[in-house]
Amino acid sequence: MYTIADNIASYKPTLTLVKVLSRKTLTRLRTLFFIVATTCAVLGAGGYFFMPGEYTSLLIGLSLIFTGLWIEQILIYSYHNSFYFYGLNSVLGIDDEKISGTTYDIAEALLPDESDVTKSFCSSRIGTVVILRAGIDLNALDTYLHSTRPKISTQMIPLPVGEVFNLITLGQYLLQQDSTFQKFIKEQGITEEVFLGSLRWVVTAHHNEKKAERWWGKDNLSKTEGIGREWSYGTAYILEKFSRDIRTSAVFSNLTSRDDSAFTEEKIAEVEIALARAKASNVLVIGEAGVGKIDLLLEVDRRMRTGKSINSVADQHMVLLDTNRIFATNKDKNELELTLLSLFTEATKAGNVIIVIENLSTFVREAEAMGVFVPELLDPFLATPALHVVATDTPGAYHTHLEPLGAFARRFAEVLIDTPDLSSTTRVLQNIALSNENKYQVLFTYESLVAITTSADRYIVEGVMPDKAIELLIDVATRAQQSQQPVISANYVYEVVSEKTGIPAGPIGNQERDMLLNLEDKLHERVIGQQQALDAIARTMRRARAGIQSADKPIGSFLFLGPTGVGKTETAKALAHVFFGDEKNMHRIDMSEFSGGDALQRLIGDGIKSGVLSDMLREHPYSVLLLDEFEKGARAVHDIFLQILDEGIFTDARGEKVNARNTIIIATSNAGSQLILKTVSQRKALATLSQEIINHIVKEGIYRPELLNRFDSTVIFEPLSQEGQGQIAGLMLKGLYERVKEQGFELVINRDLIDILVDKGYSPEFGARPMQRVIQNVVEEKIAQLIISGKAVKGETINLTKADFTAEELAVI
Amino acid sequence: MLFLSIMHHYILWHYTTAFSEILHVWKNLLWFTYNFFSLPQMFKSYFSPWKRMTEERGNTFNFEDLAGFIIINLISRIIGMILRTIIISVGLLAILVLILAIIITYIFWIFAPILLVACLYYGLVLIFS
Repeated sequence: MYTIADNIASYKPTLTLVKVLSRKTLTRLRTLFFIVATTCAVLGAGGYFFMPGEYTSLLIGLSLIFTGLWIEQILIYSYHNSFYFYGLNSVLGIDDEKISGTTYDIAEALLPDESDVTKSFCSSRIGTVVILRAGIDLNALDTYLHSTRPKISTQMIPLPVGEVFNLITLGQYLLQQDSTFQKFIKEQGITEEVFLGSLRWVVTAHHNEKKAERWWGKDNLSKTEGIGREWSYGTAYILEKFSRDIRTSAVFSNLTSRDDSAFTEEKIAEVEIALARAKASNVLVIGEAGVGKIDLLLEVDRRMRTGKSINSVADQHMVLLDTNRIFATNKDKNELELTLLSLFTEATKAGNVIIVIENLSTFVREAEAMGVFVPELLDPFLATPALHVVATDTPGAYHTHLEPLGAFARRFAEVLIDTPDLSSTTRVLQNIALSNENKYQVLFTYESLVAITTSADRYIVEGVMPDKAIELLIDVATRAQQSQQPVISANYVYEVVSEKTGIPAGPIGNQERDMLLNLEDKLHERVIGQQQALDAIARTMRRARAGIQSADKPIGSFLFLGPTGVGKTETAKALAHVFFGDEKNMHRIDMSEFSGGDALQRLIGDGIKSGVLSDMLREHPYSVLLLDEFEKGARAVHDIFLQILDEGIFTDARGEKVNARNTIIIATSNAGSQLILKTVSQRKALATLSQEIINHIVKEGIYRPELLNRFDSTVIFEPLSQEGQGQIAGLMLKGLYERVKEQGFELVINRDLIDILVDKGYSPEFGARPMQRVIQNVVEEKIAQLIISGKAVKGETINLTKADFTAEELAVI
Repeated sequence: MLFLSIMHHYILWHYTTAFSEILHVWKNLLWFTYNFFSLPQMFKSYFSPWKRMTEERGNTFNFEDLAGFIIINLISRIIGMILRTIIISVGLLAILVLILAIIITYIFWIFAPILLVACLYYGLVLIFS
């Protein structure tokens, strides 16, 4: 059995060489020797012909010596390159050739100490970066490496046949075979996934650097365009006036960063095949803004220019139609029609032009506003294979504006670009992070990138992936630089996200832990009674924060059932206060206003005006959304909530996505309150009857079972007990006490006042709500009389008893 | 000892693996030259009009039209041919240079170690003569 020890031995001479002279020094010396040799040769030759003398032979002699040294440098450099780049094509997937052996990097990492592979790897140049990116503490690593443990030597690692053994393979091997290393990583709180992710990131970046260094590789040579390719095609002069080369598009290339997946290749092939069709060879690239539609086209264009694309579209090139310029230059219908016709006719004649129209639906609608019906005007051009049109649009705009055009839409082959999944977004971030680390003087750990991806997906509402993740990355880097945080960890990312959104993200801190564990008590500070209801809410919220709950739903969703005035709204306010810092973060929609035929349009917009719900969620994505009297909403309104409660997202009338995943949705309802009152009056336990109440609501047809099932929890609020009523009265009087105190008086809150409030202000139908009226009409009125009459003096106490109120005064409610 | 070991390893590489690697790089450069001068496209479109510059013909038969069409078309094709001939010639010349270059490179490579020593030796002789 061959081991890697046998293989890495062949790298010893080259590695010894670069220990004396690094690759950089070799390059510099080569250049220096060449310059000196040439200069001496020129001077020597000049001297020989014009001023023969003693220096001539010295100069020619020096020239010969430096030429010899230059040749020596060329030979050493070529020798080193041969080993340095070994296996690179195979690792990068450029060649299909099956070769075996280790890479130069393996030898560089392991040759210093072949008896302890783990130590050699972790102490190597690239290994240290992997350890840093994985977020492993270097001191802990040092202690681990110097501890007594079973060691793996290079002679124990078999050399695989038909594949190159590189640093990624080594990392995987160590995780599988070195149990103490595996244990150490776990003790550091690092998962295997994070370690391997960091390893792939660092090693892939290193391979890409090597790739760029190797200018003679086909991949680098193919970047240069050929000459004379366009000579057999015409020139489109009008098009040149109203367009620009697609390569001038200042796009932040995201899609092409996915080059390690098959995704881009697949989409490029889809576009090329559609362009090669015999009829209607046009393409419509559909994807949300920011997913990389133009990036994809740039890549297709690059392939066409460098002869890599399929033959039938090989000599074509893309030009981006400047629609703004077209509309600005052509002010009336006739002018616009004439320009468009001439432009497309000329492009057809040219024969090698692919016209790219960004946001096709906008172009069509703007032309329509000027009286030009683009689908009809362009149809003959779209039908011919002599001209290709590639358009882009968002899915919403496509469904709303283009799909209804029928035949026009069918002229285009659709290529859908989905928003990238989280792992490909993390890969995109790896490249962006590398290019920003120098700028911001920070180092991103792999976990920080995962945290940025998941946080951007979960908490950042505006924008699409990977754009919003990239923006968050830049934001995090800027803040880290300002706060002099050199290493960006996942926790730091969560801190920034919490600061930005107001939502607690990431691991649960001590303060938050206390809050969550005592959530019932926190809520009880504001809500009286309702023990079972608050318990149910607290349980659900703890599940949500622990991350057990699905991330593709609102933070929490509750249906509060119960009679009026028992604390449903107060509970919603308390939740807003506890979770979003202020009760102002509770936003209410009265669903009784959304019961008519136009309810849905008013709620989610009608395509022209935006809707109440869409606006509210866009403006306040991190809040409690209170849907009062939910049962009064129209059926269509209930239907949209089926989706919102299930997916945490919905599409408004403009085709734009609205995110409700950072919202706590609370629907309140009086439905079934009669039954609740009856149940309580019969002194039955409410908890055991909750299912009965829900069945009653379903049977009455107030809510459909599928809607009820979508809520995380249906919470039943019971009528207030005598004791609860007293406590609420006390809370309300406390508010009055504060107001009176501001005027310089001290109000005594006594049993008499509480009794008046309970007696006169509580009713089973309206709960504690009328109590406020009693305070206003009876107690406040009495205090006002005392102040105005001068019976109450500033600084003194006001002590009211039942005897202070006449029967008439108490009757005014 | 180390120096001798490196020298041994180097000489072995110089007269074995290096030859195939030089050939590999040369093939890449040949592929690049072939594509840079767009030789396949040049041959395919050798007689095509220059930038598709041709005269349109009217619907009715007219000698004047026909003459204009033939003349413009011919001129356009001749210009195209001349320019393509230039590019093809330069491209073929570049390929020829590359072929010569590989031969010279191999000759240089075979004698490079001797050349190196010779340069150093004669250089020193000239300086101290």
